[in-house]
Amino acid sequence: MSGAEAILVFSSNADAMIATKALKDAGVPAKMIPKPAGVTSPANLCLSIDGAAETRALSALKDAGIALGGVVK
Amino acid sequence: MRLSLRTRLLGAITGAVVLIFLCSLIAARVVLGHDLNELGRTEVTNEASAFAGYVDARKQQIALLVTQEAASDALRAAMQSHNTEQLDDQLSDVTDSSGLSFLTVVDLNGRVLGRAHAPATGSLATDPIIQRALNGETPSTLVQLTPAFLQGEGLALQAGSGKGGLAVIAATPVSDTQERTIGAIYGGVLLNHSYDLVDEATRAIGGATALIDGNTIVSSSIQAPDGTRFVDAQVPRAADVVRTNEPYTGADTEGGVTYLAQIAPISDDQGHVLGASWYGIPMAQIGNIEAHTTQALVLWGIVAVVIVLALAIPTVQALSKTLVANSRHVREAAKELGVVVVGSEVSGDHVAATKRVVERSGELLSQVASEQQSEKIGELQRLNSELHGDVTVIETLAQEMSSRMRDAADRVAQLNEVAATLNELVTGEPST
Repeated sequence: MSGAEAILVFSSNADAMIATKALKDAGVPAKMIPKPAGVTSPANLCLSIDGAAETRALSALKDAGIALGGVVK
Repeated sequence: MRLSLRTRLLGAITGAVVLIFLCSLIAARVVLGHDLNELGRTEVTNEASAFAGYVDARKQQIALLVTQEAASDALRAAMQSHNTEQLDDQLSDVTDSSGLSFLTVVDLNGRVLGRAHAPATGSLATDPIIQRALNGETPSTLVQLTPAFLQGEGLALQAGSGKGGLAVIAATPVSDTQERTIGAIYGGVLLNHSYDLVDEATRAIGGATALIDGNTIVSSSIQAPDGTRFVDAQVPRAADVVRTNEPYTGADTEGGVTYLAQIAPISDDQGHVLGASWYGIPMAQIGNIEAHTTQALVLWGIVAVVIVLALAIPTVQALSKTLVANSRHVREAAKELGVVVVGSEVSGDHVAATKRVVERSGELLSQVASEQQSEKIGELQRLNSELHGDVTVIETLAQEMSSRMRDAADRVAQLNEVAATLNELVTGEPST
């Protein structure tokens, strides 16, 4: 990763899984990780992406119709 | 016993067609029976009137004959000369050529001067017809002739010993050249056991006809069971008709055959009811029409059922096959999904076991790191931490998938039950 890590938080594990597939199809590298300590979310899974790809990631998720719970940097 | 959907569908279609057909048949029978009965009543009423017309025509024919003969110079001359032999010959010639049963000539006092087929003896002075003729009338009517009159005219045998008779008659005065009445001529046809009138009418209008004196058939074209004419029989309904002077139209059995008949009163020209005319058509004619129509309806109904089944069977078969095939696919999918669910649970167990191993490995690494510092041990700890994170993710995913698989399996199980019920419905066979 060339930039700082950004963590994408979702409202459910299912959204996290679908987001993984959407980002993969959009060519945005993403790694599924357990929810870090200190992050508040109903889901136990989050996605870790390169901070520089955040804009592309958010656009891809919007195109896929996936609701994002938040971004932790 | 459970019936398959195929059987039930075809049964329902067939039942519906048969039900519609039966309702139509019953309605047709009821309407047809009613209409035919009404048509038959109209028919017998019209034909009975026609038969009455034949009786009237015969009266007019006799009146014409008698008045023509009254104008004969030869008759007048024979009467004035009291030439009985010549009178008898002349009257006999007229009756032979015209079909009259009797033709009699009387003088001004009613004494018989000549008869066609009997000795010219006795007096008819008390006979009301003769009295009217001598008074200048020309009566033309049906009458009941007395046994004594028939005896005198030599017709007792035809009427039946000691019995009176029903006759169509006419009488008219005979005048001399100065138009003075010198006597009367009286002729007619005895209808008892005389069949010209009923046969002529029957040939023209069909059915069967009869003339009834009082309540006894004296002439008819009705055939008795033994093939002879049905005469000299009592007709109870005619007695009612004569008593009430009202016609009867309806069923009447004569000679062993039930007819749709009209029995109408017949009267003399003074309005006295003498008997009845009878006209009828066999009820079997109406029954035959109903039977033929019913047979045709039944035949076409069977044809309709066959056509409907021929169209319905392939459709039902195709529908049944489709349902069975879809049901089988659902059941197969349910089985496959069941395997996936089990596999998911087993995989989850393995992931959990792997996570425990990674956690134990991390604990041991932490212990080693606390005893001796090493770059490689630090690197190993970092890898173990990353591995633990990955295993945690995998475990979470496995749990998520397992949960969703169970939900899906529950849905498919319900679908499987629907498919099994559908299969049982279509095939009629219990699902295994």
